[in-house]
Parts: sequence; C-alpha cells; structure tokens
Amino acid sequence: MHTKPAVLFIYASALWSSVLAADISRDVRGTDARSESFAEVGVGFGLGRVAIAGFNEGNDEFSEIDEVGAELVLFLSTRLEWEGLFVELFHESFALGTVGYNAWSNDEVEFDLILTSTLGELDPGDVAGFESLNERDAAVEAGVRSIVYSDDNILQFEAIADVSGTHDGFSVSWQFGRNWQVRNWATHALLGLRYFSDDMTDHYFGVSASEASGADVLNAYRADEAIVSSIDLGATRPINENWVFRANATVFRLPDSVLDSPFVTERIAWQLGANAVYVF
Amino acid sequence: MALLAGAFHLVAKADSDKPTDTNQSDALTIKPDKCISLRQGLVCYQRVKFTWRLDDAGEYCLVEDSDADPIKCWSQQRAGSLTTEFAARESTHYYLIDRVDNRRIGKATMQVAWVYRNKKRNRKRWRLF
Repeated sequence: MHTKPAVLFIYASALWSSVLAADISRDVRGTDARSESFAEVGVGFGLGRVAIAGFNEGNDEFSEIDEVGAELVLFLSTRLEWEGLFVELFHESFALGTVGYNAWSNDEVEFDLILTSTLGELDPGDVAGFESLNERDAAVEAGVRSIVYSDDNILQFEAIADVSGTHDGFSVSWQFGRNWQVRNWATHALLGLRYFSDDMTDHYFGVSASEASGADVLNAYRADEAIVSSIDLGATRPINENWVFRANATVFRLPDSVLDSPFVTERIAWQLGANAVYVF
Repeated sequence: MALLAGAFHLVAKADSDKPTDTNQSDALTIKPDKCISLRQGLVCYQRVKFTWRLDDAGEYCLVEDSDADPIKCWSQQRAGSLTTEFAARESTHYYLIDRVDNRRIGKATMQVAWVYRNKKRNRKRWRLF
C-alpha cells in the first residue's frame, strides 16, 4: 500500500468522503453558523482510502483501488440566507450542495424543507477492466431536515427522496454531534447512521447484465438496501481573527450490500484532513 | 450639624477607598495583549506576562478591574513581573495601584476577540403559515 498524490479543487465532489458528516458538521465544530450567511475558503491536505473503483483519483487499475490517496484541497464553504430561503455549500457536509427553506425555527429547533444532492456521481469506468460500467449520475433529492440544538449537543434527522428520476430511491439519516471546548480548541465527535434504499444503492453499486457482459472481471450484481455508519473526530482552533485551523479523522463502515459489489474491496473507509480556513 | 459632618466624613471615606486614576501611561504592560477565541462568548485562554516599572520603590498591587482582591502585591519594589493564566469571555482591564493611597498608576488591557460572532436568533417562528 503506498500513497499517490492528486489534486482536487472542490473537495466536496468526493463521493463517500462526505458520508460521515452532515449539515450539522459545521456547527459541531463550534462555528455557530446556523441561520446566517457566511463564506470561507480553505486550503489543506487530505489522506484517505475509499476502496471503490472510480473513486480515488489516479487509481486506474483494479489492483490499485484499495490504495491510500493523498490530496491537496482548496475549497469554498458558504451559506446564503434570505427570509428563510437558503443555499448551503459546506466543505464538511454530506451533501454536495443544498437549497432550502427554513419553515420553523426557535432557539433549539430548526425544521427545513430541502432540495439537495448527496452521493454525487461515480464513474467506475475510468478503471482498467471496468470500462463497460456506465457512469452513475448524481440525483436531485427533496425532503425534510430537522436539527435540535441542546447545549453542546446537536441532533439532525433528514429524510430525502430522489425527485430527478435518477434512481427513484430514498435515504434517511441521523447525525449526533457533540462539541467540547479544551482551552481555545473546539473538539468534536460526530456519529452518523444513514439508510439507503435498494434503488439508491443499486444505482451506484449494482452491475447490470449488459455491463457485466462487457467485462472479464465483473459479474452481474444487484445491490440491496444499506446502512452506512460513521464517526468523525476533530479539532478546530483559531489562528487569528480571520484564520482557523481544522483537523479531523473520519472512519466509515460500508455495509455488506455495498461491500459485495464487484468494484468495492474494503469494508472500512477512512480519511484524515488538516485545513487552514479563511473566514470572511 | 454633627449629623451633616458625619455624613460628609462617610462620603469622604468612601471616596478614599475607591481607586483614583492618575498617570496610567506605560507603567504596566501585558504581553500578549490579545486573546482569540473561536466563538464570541467562549472563555478565551492565554498565558500572559504582566510587567511594571516605576521610578520610586513602593507598595504596589496588580488588580483586575472587576475584582477587589489583588492578583499580586510587591513591597518596596520599583519593578516587577508576573506570568499567569488569562481566562475570560470578555476584554479585561488590569491596574497597577499604589497600596498606600489606592491610586491607579498603571493600566493594561487584555483584549478578547473571536472568529465567529454569536448570532441573534428569532425566538420562535413559523414561516409556512
């Protein structure tokens, strides 16, 4: 196992790297970003392994897909909010991007109607031997999101369904986050459980008969429903009034229905990241 | 008349207990003089060093503006320093006072700044209905 360098411009485009976090992933870092507009840009370094063909850039052979990848990342995180309407693009978030409407809120609870895209697109056909696999398109999903804030704890529930006709599936997620202040560091833990319907997992990880017939190393495969669990641990520290340092470690456990897919090789995926973020 | 004189004496005594400001130029310094917390309202921690220097030796104390008890006193000294731990949610003023007449003879301020300010939230609202 060795490390290959790669450069990604928008980190959030990674498929599974964001499974751990959700939209509370920013608040749990002590930033208190809810219901306000903000913008920040960051630069950092990431190291990780998500052993899915077509995921790790530069891993062009089947034998390489479980290798560790290294990334230099530049990213933008922003939230624009006006009269309850909002647009979110969070570097740490599960979602690639979300637009929504805050239907209800008080000091402890928020209830949002959202339109989002979670798992993005995946192109396993980039890997040698898998050329017969079609690109998996990103879906647009609509649903509800509720966030409960209690002291240093945050709980998020989200239920979304495909409205773009891409896979006709749905997902339900629970995220629980807690923040601890240790001197000027804000440390956090974020636990996640996300259920994916079989339509959704099969869209990404199934192999159709026609795809299998065009490849020597593939058999047809029907992916079943799945639950992905995750844990994200991290720390954030101010450098000065505009710069923040963030570091995190994330581990996710892929379910059997994904692991059994012919182009997934490892159950445990992980990533380490360290960023310097400029807050406008 | 005696009552009036007694009342005047009480007021005068109260005034003498209160620290009076005099020359507060650079007799007292604090380094660093700024603490950055992640979010407004969090306790900010910083190791700081107070340093003071005066022309005349005397009885001097370092005090925090909101606290009557001195942080440290020096006897018959004309200079001193103290390294200590700062922990506060807001900017804090410190004074060097003359223990004999309670005069403030030096002032230093530890600023607390933050990256993310606390947001004002609406108490409760339905936007849909």
